[in-house]
Amino acid sequence: MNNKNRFQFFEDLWDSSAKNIAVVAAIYCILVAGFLAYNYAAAQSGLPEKERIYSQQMAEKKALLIEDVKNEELKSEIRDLDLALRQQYFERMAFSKRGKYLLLAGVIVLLLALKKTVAMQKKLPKKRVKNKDPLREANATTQARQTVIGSSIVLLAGALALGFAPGVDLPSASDEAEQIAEAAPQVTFPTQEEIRQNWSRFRGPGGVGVAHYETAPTTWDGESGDGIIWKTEVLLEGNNSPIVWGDRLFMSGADENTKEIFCYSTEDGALLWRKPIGMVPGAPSEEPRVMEGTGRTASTMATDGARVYAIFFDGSLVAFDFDGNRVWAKNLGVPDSVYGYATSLMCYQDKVIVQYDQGYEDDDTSVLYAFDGKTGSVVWQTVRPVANSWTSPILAKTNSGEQIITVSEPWVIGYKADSGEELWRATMMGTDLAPSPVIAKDMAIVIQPNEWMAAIKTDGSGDVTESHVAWHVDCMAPDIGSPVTDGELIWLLTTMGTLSCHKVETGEMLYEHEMDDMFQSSPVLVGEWIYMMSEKGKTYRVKTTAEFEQAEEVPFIDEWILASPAFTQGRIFVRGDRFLYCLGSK
Amino acid sequence: MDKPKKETKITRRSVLRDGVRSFFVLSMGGASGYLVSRVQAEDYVWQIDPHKCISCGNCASHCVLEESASKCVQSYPMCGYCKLCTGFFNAAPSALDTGAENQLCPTGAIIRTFVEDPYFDYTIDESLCIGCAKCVKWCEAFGNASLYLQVRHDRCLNCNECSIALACPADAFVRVPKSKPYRLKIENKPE
Repeated sequence: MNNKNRFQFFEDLWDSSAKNIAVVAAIYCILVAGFLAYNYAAAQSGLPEKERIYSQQMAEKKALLIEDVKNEELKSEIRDLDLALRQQYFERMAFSKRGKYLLLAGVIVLLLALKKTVAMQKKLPKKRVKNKDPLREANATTQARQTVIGSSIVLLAGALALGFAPGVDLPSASDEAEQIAEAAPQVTFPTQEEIRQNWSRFRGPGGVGVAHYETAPTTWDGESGDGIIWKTEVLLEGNNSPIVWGDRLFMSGADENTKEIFCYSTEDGALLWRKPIGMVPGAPSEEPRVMEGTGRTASTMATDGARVYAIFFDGSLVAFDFDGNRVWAKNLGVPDSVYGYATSLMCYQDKVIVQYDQGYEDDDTSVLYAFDGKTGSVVWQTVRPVANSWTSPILAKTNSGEQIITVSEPWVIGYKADSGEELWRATMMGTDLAPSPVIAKDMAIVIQPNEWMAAIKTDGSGDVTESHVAWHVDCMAPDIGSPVTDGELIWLLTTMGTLSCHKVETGEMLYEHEMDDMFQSSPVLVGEWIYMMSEKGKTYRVKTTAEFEQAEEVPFIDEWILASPAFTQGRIFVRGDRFLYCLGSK
Repeated sequence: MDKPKKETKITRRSVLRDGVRSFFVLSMGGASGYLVSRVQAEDYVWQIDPHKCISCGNCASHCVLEESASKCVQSYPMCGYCKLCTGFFNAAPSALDTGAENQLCPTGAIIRTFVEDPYFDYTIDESLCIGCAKCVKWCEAFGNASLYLQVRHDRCLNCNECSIALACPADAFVRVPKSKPYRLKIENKPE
């Protein structure tokens, strides 16, 4: 047989046996994966049976040796047992390494065979070659059969050889899991109505700065105390905003000595509890550098109605119940962020979502996490190809389901809220991002500070930069505050006090108005009014109309206000640098 | 009608002017990059604070690696070089030699070498050490506590969420600056 014929022979052989090889390789992969899982479970649940028996024997023999220290035979037995025990242990360690390579080889064979099988199905029937040797064809068929049988034996033998691993205590792991499942309380998370009635995160329900009431307090006076239900001292500094659930208000604070969470009664402002977060596994032993403007607690807390969650500048994430008991705590690593960490938390059902953006777009250090609220275990995590930012994620109800929408350099990304699976992404963002997105008419509206605003349709998939950007307009884009929208119009408020109004449909600007004040907190929309609180504590109200219409300014007090206010029925909660206020009618 | 385009001539002056502008732009870019890099948070890595470690043994079983990144290390300036080393021998050795029946370490990772009577040098074979901390526990109980655990950075994956840190009952797992990746006992005596 010359080289050409030999090549043809092997090709025919491969063609005719690819499907069967794929089946065998699949069985092989399942077996190897099973053994690896078995081995892993063994390592997790304690010593495998054989090692455990050896260990027991070792303990017994050592006990005997104490009684009979000169028994050389016993010593020799112990030494042999010790060697066997060590061999068992290191063999088990090596098993995992080998198994991974064997599995990899099996997967490669499986993929090649599958590829060939699929390719074969697509092929048109071959023309019979006139001078094809019938004897050689028969030989090829026989060889193919033998190849499949042979490879099956080899693969199965390999898999069985792997199976000679020490015994495993699998039942204990499953029993434990069942016990935990039995002990765990029923999964509950707040209804949509409960979320709408509360202010459970930065910028309220969904994180878009819209209160679900028609009215809110309109007048108050810091000097006389009129319109102020209560005020109470802020005990620790922090740039985060208050959150409210039922009759509880939560916020965090920190200084160089302590990081704490505070719980107040919304009825009378009484401090119900304050809790230091305590030792957090993995928290840095030396305090990372803090940028003064950002501080240690720029991130606003979040609650799911059962627990409250807070994250601090050093990456410590904690969960407390409503009685002030720490439920869990973990450190996500000190965030590599130019200005410090400032992204706020959000809850989705019974999970806490953390947009942990850091480093640069190509170093794979930014992650979107979903942690189980009860245990702190990771439910899902998605690595994000983005750099550090200050923006917070929003939860958007779109025609294509609930999405978590995030804005960071350079991508705006929409994720499935329940799985973290990426749905779409658009590359457009530059550096120094702080304003969070909002949603209107099924479009994510995003801000590039000081430059432009754009709207991206949320029903795309993959890279939608070219296909789904509905509009893009240059404008007075805020550098800190997030926009607010009633679904038809969008309002932008810059730090320097420029308020502009745009159409959602096109981005076209309808008006621009300069206010003689500066703003860092984000505007909030209540009914037909937009509330804006200036750095100096003055409140401005503007009607949600296409033409500028301003209500009388409300003098506040001599307070420095950076945090965004929280709104509940008939009340506004404002965090100043010295006092926390509840505004409304007594 | 289209506006006639202005003809652009390349002159020596324009080349010089563009060159100077480019130089300034690049300088500004470089300076900004440098300033940004200066304010970056320093990288951190995981490490065990030996003064908090209670030798619970979780390091051996909770690392995501098959073979734990936590290894025993010996602080030679602290070591007593004892003939009866409680980190090396089990509680009731039949003899003070390297027989398996006498050793505490389950993998034989501690190498005992004679120095001069009655002194012995104890060295860790890291390829055998599994971070079980048995030697650490007993060295601390009866010896100078010169044996202790450290995360070896040639192995550690520096996971964002370290499994051992989560399991550590003593909160001994901390993040330390990458520039000082080890917490050597001799340098970190508690006050």
